Amino acid sequence: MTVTVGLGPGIFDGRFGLANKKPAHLAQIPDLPSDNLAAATTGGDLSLQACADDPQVAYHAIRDLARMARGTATVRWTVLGFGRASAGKNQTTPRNLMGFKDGTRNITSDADYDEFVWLGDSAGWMAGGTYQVVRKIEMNIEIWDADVISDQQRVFGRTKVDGAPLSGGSEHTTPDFHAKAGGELKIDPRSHVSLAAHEHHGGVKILRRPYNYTDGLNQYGQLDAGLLFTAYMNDPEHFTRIQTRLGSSDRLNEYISHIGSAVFAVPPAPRAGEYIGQALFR
Amino acid sequence: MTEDRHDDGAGSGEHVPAPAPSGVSRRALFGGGLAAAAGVGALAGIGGSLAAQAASAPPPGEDIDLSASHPFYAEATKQPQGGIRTVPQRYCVLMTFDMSSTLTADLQVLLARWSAAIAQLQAGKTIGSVSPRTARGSAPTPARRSTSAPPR
Ligand code: HEM
Repeated sequence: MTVTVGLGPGIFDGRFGLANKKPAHLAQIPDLPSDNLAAATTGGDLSLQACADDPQVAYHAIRDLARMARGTATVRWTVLGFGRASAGKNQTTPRNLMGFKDGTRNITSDADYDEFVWLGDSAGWMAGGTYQVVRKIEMNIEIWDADVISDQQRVFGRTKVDGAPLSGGSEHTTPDFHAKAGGELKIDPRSHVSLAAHEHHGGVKILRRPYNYTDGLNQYGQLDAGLLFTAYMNDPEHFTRIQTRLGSSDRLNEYISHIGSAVFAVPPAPRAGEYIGQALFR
Repeated sequence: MTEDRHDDGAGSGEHVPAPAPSGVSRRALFGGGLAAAAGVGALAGIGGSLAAQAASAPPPGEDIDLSASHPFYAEATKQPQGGIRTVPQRYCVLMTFDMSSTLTADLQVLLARWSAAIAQLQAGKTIGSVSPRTARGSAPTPARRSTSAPPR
C-alpha cells in the first residue's frame, strides 16, 4: 500500500507563518465552466490518499492516520475509490463506470514525467514533488446507460469495446484529429478526447490516476456514482486549462457533474529520519 | 470515524498474529501486534521483502500481492512520494482535513507523526504508538465535527 500526503493552500495562508514558503503554483482552482461544486466535497488544508489492493487495508490506514490528527485537524471530506480507472506499466487498461477504457493515453515515459509531473530544482524545497488536483465527478449513469452505443462512442471519440480512436486503428493507435469521412471529422471536435488531447492544449499533459466511486443511491433513488478524478502535474494551471475547455464544450457534460474539487502540493519523500514537509519549518 | 475511541497505541483490538517472515499476511496488517514504539522520523521504513510469486500467477500487472512494500524514505534528493508513479492499486481512500489548531508546532507534529506512521504502513506493518500526540505533549481533545462540512 501507499499513502500520499498533500498540503492545501490553507497551510500557507498565514495561520502557521508559512506564507513565504508557499509553493509557487499552489492556489485554489478557480471557478470553471459547468462546475457544480458542493462545499461538503471541496477543499481541505491537508490530504491523504491511501491506495491498496485491498479496500480494508486502505481504509484501515486512513482511520489510523485520521485518529492521529484528533485535536489538530478535522476531517473535511472523504471518498472510497475502487477499480483503478488508470493503467500502470504492464497493466491492461481498465474501464470506468461508463464502460469505456480509461487511461489509454496517459503519461508513461520518464521524459513526460520530468516535463509534466515532477517539480525541478527551481521549486526549492518542493523539488521532486508535484501538485495533486482532485475532482469528485458525479455520473448520470442511468441516462448514460439509456444512450445508444454509437452516441456514447461519439461522446468520447473512441470505440467502447476496444477503446480505439474513431479515426481508426486499435487502442494504442494515435488518434488522428484531422481524419474525415463524408466531410465530417471522424473524431467529433466536441468529443472528450479531442478537447482533452495535448495536441489541442499547446502540448500540455497531466498524469491521470482516477478511481471509480459509489455513494449508493441519491435523493431521487438513482445510482449515485462517478469518478474520483485524481491528477498530478507540475502546475495546476494545466488542469485548469484543460477543464476550462472541457467544462464549456465537452459532449460528456450531459452525463457528468463536477461536485467536488481540491488542490494540494505534494512534497517529495523525506530522507530517513526526516518527515514530509520538514523543510518548511527550517 | 470521528466517533472512534481507540487510542493510538491500542491498535484495532484484534488478536495478535505472528508476523510472517517474508511479507505480511493480510491478517498481520490488521493486528495490533507490531506495536513497536515509533519515535518521530526514527524508522528505517523498509520492511517485509516481497513474497515469492506463485507459479500460477495471474497475468502480469493484474495480480494482488498484499505483502508488497513500498519504500517511504527517499534514498536520494528529489525523490517523489509513493502513490503517484507507483503501479495503480485497486482501491484508494482519499480524505481531506482542515486544521483546527493554529499552532505551527501542531502542524509540524502531525506531519511528523503521519510520516512515521506511513513509513510503517508502506513497509506492511501496523502503526504502533507514534509520539508525541500534540505539540503540547498532552492527550488530544476529542474529535470535533466540522459543522460547515460534515464528512460524507
Ligand atoms: C467522469 C469524468 C471523466 C470520464 C468518464 C473520462 C473518461 C475518459 C476516457 C474514456 C478517455 C479515453 C481513454 C484515454 O485516453 O484514457 C479519457 C481521456 C482523457 N481524459 Fe478524461 N474522463 C473524465 C474526466 C476528465 C477530466 C476532468 C479531465 C481533465 C481536466 C480529463 C482529461 C483527459 C485527458 C487529458 C485524456 C486523454 C486525451 C487524449 O490525449 O487522447 N478527463 N477520459
